[in-house]
Amino acid sequence: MRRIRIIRNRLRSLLQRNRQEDELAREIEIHVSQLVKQLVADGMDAEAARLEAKRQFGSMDAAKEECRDMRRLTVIEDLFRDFRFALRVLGKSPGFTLTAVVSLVLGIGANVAMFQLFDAVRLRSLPVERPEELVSVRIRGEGRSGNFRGRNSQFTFAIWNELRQRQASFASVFAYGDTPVNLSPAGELRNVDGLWVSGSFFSGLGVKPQLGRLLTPDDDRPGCGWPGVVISHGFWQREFGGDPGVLSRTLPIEGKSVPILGVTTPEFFGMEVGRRFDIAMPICSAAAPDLGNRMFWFLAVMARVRPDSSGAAARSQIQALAPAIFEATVPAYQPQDQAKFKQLQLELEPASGGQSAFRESYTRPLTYLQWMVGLVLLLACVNLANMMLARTTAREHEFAVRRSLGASRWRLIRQVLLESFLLSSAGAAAGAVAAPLIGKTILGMIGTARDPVFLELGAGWRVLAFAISVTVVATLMFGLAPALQAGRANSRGSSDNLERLNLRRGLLLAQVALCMLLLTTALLVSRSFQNLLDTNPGFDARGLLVASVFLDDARYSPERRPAIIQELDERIRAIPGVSAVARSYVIPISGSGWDRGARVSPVDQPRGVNLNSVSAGYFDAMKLPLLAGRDFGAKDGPTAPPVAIVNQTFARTFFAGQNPVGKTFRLDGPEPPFEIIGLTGDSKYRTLAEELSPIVYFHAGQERVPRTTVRFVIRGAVSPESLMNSARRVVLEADPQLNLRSVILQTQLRESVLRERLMAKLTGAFGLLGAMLALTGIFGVTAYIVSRRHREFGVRMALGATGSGIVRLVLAEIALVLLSGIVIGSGLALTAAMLMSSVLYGIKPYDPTALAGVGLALSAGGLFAAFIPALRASRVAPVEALRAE
Amino acid sequence: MPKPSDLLQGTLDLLILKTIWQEPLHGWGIARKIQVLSGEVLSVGQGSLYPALHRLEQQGWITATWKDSDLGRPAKLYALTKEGKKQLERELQSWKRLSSAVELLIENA
Repeated sequence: MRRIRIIRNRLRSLLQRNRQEDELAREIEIHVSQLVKQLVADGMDAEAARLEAKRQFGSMDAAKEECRDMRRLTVIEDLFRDFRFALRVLGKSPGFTLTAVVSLVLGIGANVAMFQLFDAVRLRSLPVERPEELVSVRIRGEGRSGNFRGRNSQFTFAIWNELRQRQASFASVFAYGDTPVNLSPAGELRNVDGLWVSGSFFSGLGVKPQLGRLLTPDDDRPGCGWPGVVISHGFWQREFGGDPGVLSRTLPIEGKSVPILGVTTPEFFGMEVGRRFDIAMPICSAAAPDLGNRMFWFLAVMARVRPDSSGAAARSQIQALAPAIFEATVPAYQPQDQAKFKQLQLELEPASGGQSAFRESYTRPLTYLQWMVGLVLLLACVNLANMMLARTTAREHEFAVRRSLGASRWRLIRQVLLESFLLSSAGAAAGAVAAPLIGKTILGMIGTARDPVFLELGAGWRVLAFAISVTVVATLMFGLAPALQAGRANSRGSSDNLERLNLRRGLLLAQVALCMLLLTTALLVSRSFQNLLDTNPGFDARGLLVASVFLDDARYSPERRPAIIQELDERIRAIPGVSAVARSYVIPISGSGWDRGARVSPVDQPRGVNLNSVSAGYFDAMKLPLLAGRDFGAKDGPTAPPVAIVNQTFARTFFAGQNPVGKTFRLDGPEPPFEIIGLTGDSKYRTLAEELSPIVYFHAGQERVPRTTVRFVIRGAVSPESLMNSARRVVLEADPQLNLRSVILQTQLRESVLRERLMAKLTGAFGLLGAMLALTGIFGVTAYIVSRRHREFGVRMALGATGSGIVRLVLAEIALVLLSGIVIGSGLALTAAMLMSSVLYGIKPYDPTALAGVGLALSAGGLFAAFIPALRASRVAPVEALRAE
Repeated sequence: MPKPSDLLQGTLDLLILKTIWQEPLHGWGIARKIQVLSGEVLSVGQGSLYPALHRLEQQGWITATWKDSDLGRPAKLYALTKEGKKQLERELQSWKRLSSAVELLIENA
């Protein structure tokens, strides 16, 4: 009751201000007139009584003021007044306001944009029911080998099947795997993103259909063929224009017309942040040899923990199941490898955010970039703090007058803080508009035509909270020092000069140090990227085209494959301008590969080697030098003894660098030994950044069954683009129903360093932005510090100092600050580089040239900034300098 | 601000609450009543009376309404609220404790 009354009173004080003022005046007037009446009654004459009453009552205005204070009117009222005043002050200096707001827009906008990305990639949960109950089941330990397909290659079908049947501790368990699905019956491939899903996938996640129905355990039965697929909302919109009759349509997959059973709701993008799925297919529709193959790893498994059970119970149960599961699914490895396989373990990981290779590869770069934009904002704040300080100094007179008129210290502090807050709010508002644009630009830099990135950059509460805290922190960072300075202004006039100069020197030092940190980091990242681009992959990618042709199992039985491969080879060779053609199973720097263990004698511990299967002429086409021995030839056929060509690293690893030609080695499987017939130069296999690895090349002509995917490496004197068109034409001439995909190898190489390119571009951009901010700041502060000492210089010169002496004095002082800043900045830069070393390539974190270069540039800039005002100071006549103050 | 030197800090609130505990009064009336009932010993400076009234009103101990008054025209009449009565009880209690303690000290020291 009392609380309500208090609130009502406050509101009344606030809203009915004029009425309250009137009432107060009337109340006091009544009192005074009563006083007069009483005095008259006591025998005083009217005029004297009036004066006496006023004297007795004391200052009416003071009483009124105090009543107002009692009503707590002032706090809010003053705030409004200060607000209006702040707007007026800012409006009076549009240049300063614009500079401040622009640097804040850039600083805050970049921060919010980076955080939005970070949030989308790292923090957000899967758009499914109760994502916190999801765990992913993972295999721990070494001993898995074979064929790994897709980004979720954790499980084979056999292991998944055992796990599904044996587990009892989860509410549900489901599997999925990603695969490209070709929707073009012939010609250039048209791949969409497919997802193999177990029958319990959608029900386990709690995903609902938008249209039709989703896949159920009934759809996912062994030997099911193609009962139908579920498509995503996005695919429905893109492919079918949101046609409500889509359920009666089919998709052409693997030569069959597959019915569409349903469409998922819009929010479900799939299981991987940064990716999307177009088509979900039951796992049973996958090719039978893949399902039966115990060395084919293509599934990921997730489970939903029962709400009433603890994660620990589920974990211990799944761990207890592991031996039986791996015992039952052991592949046809060598005996010692089978033993290793049976030692594998199962473990659970929280999976509320799903699993994402994209997330794993981008979390670190995004974290660094987030720090970097934080630094840029910090620099912007230091800069603004400087400008605000200069303004408070200029407004010292105003503050002194207000203080002597009775304004409290707090009031002045609040006034300046309010101005800062207005600036940062404007910056934040514009930054919020700019953030999605910045974010989209960055996303556009990550994705490629072949590998697009899909991220929803929402503005959730986390982003909002981040934006607000950034704004508040920024306000305090650049507004607090000037505000406190305004509060120190006293009625006597200027406040302590020395202290202020020291504050300025401190800010200058901070700017130099931060600028040093930003620039060296940017330089380091750019140089690392340049190193990556300059890396010699070992082969010559220029002018190389890779055309992959897909031989459909049904139309090309193993016996028919050699003939069509031969025909394609001849047709491609006949294309004008083609100088070399060869076949290769693995395309280097494509991110995928094939590896096994190898050993020289059966008792050795096998060591991992990368494999490839190539045709004769491959080394010639790739311009990979053949250093010893010979290339494959016609005599190395399917029935001839198995041969191999190895690279230098292989020779170093297995034969201590001796010429390996004529020696033999074995794989860790049941295969007979291979004779080494040639030695080639080293080359990169999966990525440009990797260490060189041992590589073994087998002869494609020795494979008993030719593979269904045939990749032609084509080198020509004409441009790869025209080569691409010709290749497509001749392939379709051979068989109009063939599917193919062509890739320009150099484009693939470029796209393989996308993450590094993003880092280099963004750190470069932010580094430059920071440097610009810092340099303007350094100029401004230096000029200011010098100008504040005009009077001192005047005195010095009056006492006989020379102009050049003054210049030396100023330069020495600034040089000291610059030097300290550079030393501190170098320390920071070294620490940062150390932390970043995992994303740096071919460069040591300790890079003296970068540090020295940036340090020199900063010193030169800083001294130049100091030189002009110093010169001006030295030319001022002493008398004038003294008079000016 | 001119504070009545003879009034202990916080006593003014007690005096005001006590003065209006039976019937609502305007500011002038409260000042007069304090003066008269204390045998012209206590006099409240007007400069502190009105701020005190406004503070008590803000705190919810008293309410104010404009009504016709004995002054021949409408005046702002202050009355105790229910919570104000309780507050008066508390203030009286503490005043009694304080004054008896002071008395005890004076007699025995």
